[in-house]
Amino acid sequence: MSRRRPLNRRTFLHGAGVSLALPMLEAMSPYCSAFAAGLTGPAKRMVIFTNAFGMYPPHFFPKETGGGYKMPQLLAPLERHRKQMTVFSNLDHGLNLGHSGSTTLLNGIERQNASHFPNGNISADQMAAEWLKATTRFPSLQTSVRGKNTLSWTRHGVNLNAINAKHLYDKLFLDLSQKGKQEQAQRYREEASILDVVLDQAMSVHRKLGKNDQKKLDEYLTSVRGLEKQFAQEKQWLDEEKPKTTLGVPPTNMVNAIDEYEIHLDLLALALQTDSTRIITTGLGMVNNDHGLPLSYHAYSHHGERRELVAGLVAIEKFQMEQIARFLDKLKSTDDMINGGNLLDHTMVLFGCGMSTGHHSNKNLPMFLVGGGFKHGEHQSSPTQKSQRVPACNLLLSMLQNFGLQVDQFGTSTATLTGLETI
Amino acid sequence: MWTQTCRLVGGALFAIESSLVLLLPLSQLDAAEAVAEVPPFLKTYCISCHGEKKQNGDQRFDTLTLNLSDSNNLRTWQNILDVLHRGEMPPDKDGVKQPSDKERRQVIVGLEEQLLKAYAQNNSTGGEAIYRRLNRFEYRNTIRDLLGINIEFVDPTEKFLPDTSEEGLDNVGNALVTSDYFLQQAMGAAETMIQRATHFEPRPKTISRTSPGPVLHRKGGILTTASRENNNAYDEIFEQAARGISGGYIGMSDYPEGVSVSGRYRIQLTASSSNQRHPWGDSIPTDQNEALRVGVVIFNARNADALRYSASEKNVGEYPLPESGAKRTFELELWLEEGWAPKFVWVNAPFRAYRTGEKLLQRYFPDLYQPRPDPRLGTRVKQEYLYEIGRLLVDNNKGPTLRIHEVKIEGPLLDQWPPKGHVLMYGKGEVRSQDVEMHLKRFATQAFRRPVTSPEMEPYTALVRQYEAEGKSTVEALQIGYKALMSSTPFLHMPQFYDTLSANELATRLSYFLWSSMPDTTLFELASDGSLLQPDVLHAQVERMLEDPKSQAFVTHFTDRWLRLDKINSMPPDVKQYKSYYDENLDVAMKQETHLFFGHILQKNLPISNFIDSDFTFVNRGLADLYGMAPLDDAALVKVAITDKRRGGLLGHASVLTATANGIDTSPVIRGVWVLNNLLGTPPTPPPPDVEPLAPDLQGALTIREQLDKHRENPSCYDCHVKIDPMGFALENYGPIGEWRESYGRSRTPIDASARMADGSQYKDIVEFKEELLKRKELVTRHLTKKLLEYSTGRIMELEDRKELDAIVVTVKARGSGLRDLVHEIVQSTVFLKK
Repeated sequence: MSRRRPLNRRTFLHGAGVSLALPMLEAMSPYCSAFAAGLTGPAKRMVIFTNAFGMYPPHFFPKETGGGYKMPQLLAPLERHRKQMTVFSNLDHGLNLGHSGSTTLLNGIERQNASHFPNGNISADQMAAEWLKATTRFPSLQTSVRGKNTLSWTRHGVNLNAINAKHLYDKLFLDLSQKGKQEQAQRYREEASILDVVLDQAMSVHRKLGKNDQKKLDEYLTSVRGLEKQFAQEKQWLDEEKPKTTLGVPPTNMVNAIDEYEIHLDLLALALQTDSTRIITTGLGMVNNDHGLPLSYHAYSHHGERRELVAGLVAIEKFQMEQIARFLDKLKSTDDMINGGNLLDHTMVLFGCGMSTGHHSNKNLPMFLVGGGFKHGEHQSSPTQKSQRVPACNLLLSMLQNFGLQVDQFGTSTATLTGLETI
Repeated sequence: MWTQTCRLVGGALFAIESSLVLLLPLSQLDAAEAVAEVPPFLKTYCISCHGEKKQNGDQRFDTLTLNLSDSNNLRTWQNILDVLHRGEMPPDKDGVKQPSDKERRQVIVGLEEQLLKAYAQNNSTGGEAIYRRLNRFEYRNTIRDLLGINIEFVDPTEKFLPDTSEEGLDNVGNALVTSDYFLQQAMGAAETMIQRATHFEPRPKTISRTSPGPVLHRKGGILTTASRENNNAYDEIFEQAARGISGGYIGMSDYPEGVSVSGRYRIQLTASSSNQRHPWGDSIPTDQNEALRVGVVIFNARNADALRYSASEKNVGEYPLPESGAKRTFELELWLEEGWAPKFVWVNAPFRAYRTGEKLLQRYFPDLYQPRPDPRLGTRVKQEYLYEIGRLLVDNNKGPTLRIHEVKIEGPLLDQWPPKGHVLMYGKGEVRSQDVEMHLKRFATQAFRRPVTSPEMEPYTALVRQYEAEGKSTVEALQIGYKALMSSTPFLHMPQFYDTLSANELATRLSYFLWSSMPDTTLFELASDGSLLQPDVLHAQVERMLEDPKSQAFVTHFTDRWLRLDKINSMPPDVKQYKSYYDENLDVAMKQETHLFFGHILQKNLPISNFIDSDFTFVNRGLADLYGMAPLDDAALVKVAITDKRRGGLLGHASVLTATANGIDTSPVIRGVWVLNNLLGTPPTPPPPDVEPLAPDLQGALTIREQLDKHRENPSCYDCHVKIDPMGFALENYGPIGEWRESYGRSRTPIDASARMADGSQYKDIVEFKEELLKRKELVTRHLTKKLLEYSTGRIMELEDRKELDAIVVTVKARGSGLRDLVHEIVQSTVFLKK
């Protein structure tokens, strides 16, 4: 590991959105260890919220740009966080995928095109997780409340499953017994020795295969090595006690949406507070009869501009915004034990949807960013002319650099996001 | 097209412009001619701004070649195609020469064909199968056959992520991915399954136990409990058991934790009905001509309460009871996993007709009835009141009920002990350390699906010895060895080392084709002496395998993937509007219909044209009702003749119609694309970028036909939609779950299901549409052949395979296009016998 102090990330973020043509120096490699990163700046976190059906555009995008814009109906619950928040208009990934677009929010790349890109279709959160490694017990967490979350993609094209509140609680607070820990340590040993054997076996198969097959078998070899690394990282945490909490175990199958959202988002805040993880993605959903609405979320998204259905959709969406506002309250009022200040100061909270509306459009994705150490307070509208449109990956690149990664490109980014500067 | 196209995301521009241009018939256009038009077109209309002198927008075309294997070139051409599609170029400005509509469309057609070819090239795997991983379905079945685990109850793949599919198939080697996540799950699954299959305990005794009624001793619903107090001989069911409604189940108090040993069990149930005909029809609306039916349900008693619905419970049998009220005894044999238990329901009970009995008592026995006590007196008073009412009602009940008199359970009925999987791992008798290599070799031969050598086993033997040395027992150490074998690539993947498959490789390919699982003893034997490579032996094996119940894997799974039935329940219909969908479990029934349909055509070697139109199908009570056929009594599906020509063939199946709708409305475009993709095998080119999705303005109440007509006025949309839309209009009379409808929803606009197809032929409804499709039935045979070849070999067919595919179609057609014949031809083909 290099003893050189890695370049200060500020040399990257010009804020003017200029793309870098610097050669990739060893110290700027994205795979700097988290230990080295700790030398450069505060520990950063990112939380991404999403939903599967977008936001009703007339009530989401502010009419005015700059500061002092009037909060539209859907953003009104976030008024008290205005100063820490930036709303974006006219960012998207240039894709036309309908519902499947929801899975591309954090990478801007369709799964089937992944092989054309150097990092595959890895999502921004997983990029950050790879970099952070075993700094926290959980490199990242994927959760969902009453809905789906398909945001997180590994480098190998695995779309990670999301967990619910009960599962999240167990992960955060349920410690294995002493015996359980011994068994788990034993299991790591056994599996490591199994991996040695199967690797050798696979190499002998590899030698006998044609070239195309060898490439495919390489996936297996990479997996074996990847698992070995993962076990080594997890083992580091095995003997550490998990944090304690007075919070009770969340019930499964909560009927009341308010209860479930509040419990779930409180757990997310706790996860950050205890530094169990620094990277979270969460899907926000709705179940029939939530908010007194009898139809399904899908049905409301197909409103066809019919008044009652639009009203239903807006109620669903507004509720999500209220819950996010409450989550932000929590972060603001919680001390950041690592960096000082409050948790929101160094936590980037992004809300975005890969499918922008129920009409299956993937243009002009509804997005806003809160906290994390950026200068906020404005509604930023990017150009609409075809040759001047800004890729949403530029925002993701800015977030990754802010997180600490020394990268100058991510997904389909052309530069960092103009107009988004750090404090 | 042969392979899925791939859209590169380079520099795609936005915004849409469309100009209304006079439409000329395109049928005369030949793609080969059209390509020749491209360079002169560029020269005339584009080079002046995008050439040597000027490079507007940084684009330069004068040095551009048609060499599409260069990916930069490909990207540039794709951009050119995109802007032509959108009518953005040449720009609509003064002094800029515009191509005629015909010229523009010619160039678009020519470019599209070339680009699709280039993308296919990019995706080519050289006409060979690529190293293929077991998918979830295959993994599960392999565990079943290797270790003897009952996978109906235990799913080793429950935490696995979904497989990546290509063109709807989930077993394409090149598309399936092996990731660290997958490997970790597979290792965990292996450990769990090895434990489950290990049985060193002594042979469990087969026990027969009779539980006389009442079999439920704890509080059930109020009336059930009251009835039990009233009599000591039977349990009584008063209402429907369903999701969200408590009561309605009779559980067995003798099995609070279910059975203690997994195995086959024989259940004998004695039941009767009471008051099938009754005077309370106004309050309890049952069909008094219909026999009451008792149902047997099994559930996991360790996880769930007998008296509540649990998501994993299974219906295993349904029996009608005589009107007279006489007792009947039914016997069924089934598998019960340890911890599972049976419970009983009244299948066709009315919903909530009895409830607590208050209303019934009030209506029919007013002098016995008393009103509810004041709620302020508390819950206990209310409970006592309700039980009292219940007793009074039960004492005087004239309404229908179902009665459980006795249940006898015998088992486990064991074929062998120790079970098959255990014997494979440990042999019979004592497990000795010196036999370790023998055990490993025996297991590996099955797990790797081929003979193994001693040198190959050395690392595994060393692993086992290492753990023995650390103090583990030989059995424990062996289990680690087996876990390693099941985490190895020869188990998880299907290696193919030879251009022409070896006998072992052929056995594996054949068994995963027809059984989605590993070969059995017979196949291994025929592979070991090479006789499997002989055509007549191969033919006989296909026959044997199709007769084996394991071929259900082929019938159900291939059908689901071919017809994309996985989309059912991705957007389920509204619960209130489509109540029957949920009450009758139509989602399950409709898939079964299509499976049985395919299975029957396969079994009887019926012509493939039956998929287009048939004079039979399979329905049960719920489907017969949905289709407006003569009512049936059974929940099990039976073969029925179709007399109404509107149904018949796959296009009348609720499964297809539901999978191609979104639970709320239908679209001729979605269904038309389905017909082109999956039936005729002539998929349309993908839509150009930034096609604004149809945003229905339902306030304007334009019918979908009117919206699509407007859509087709745009010339760049016309060329594809003139082919797509007519394939879907015929199906508009079928609603989102396949129900027939004459008009659209609340507007009552009558449905016009006629259309004119791209080649000029016309039809006025679904019946005539199917006649048109029958004229094109060879396309269906060809596409089905392609799909079967892809499913059986695990690779997508490419241009080079065309000749062989054509030959198969010709042979099969000459013999009447029977589906079974087609399967045989495929197994005997060079495509199947080569990598």
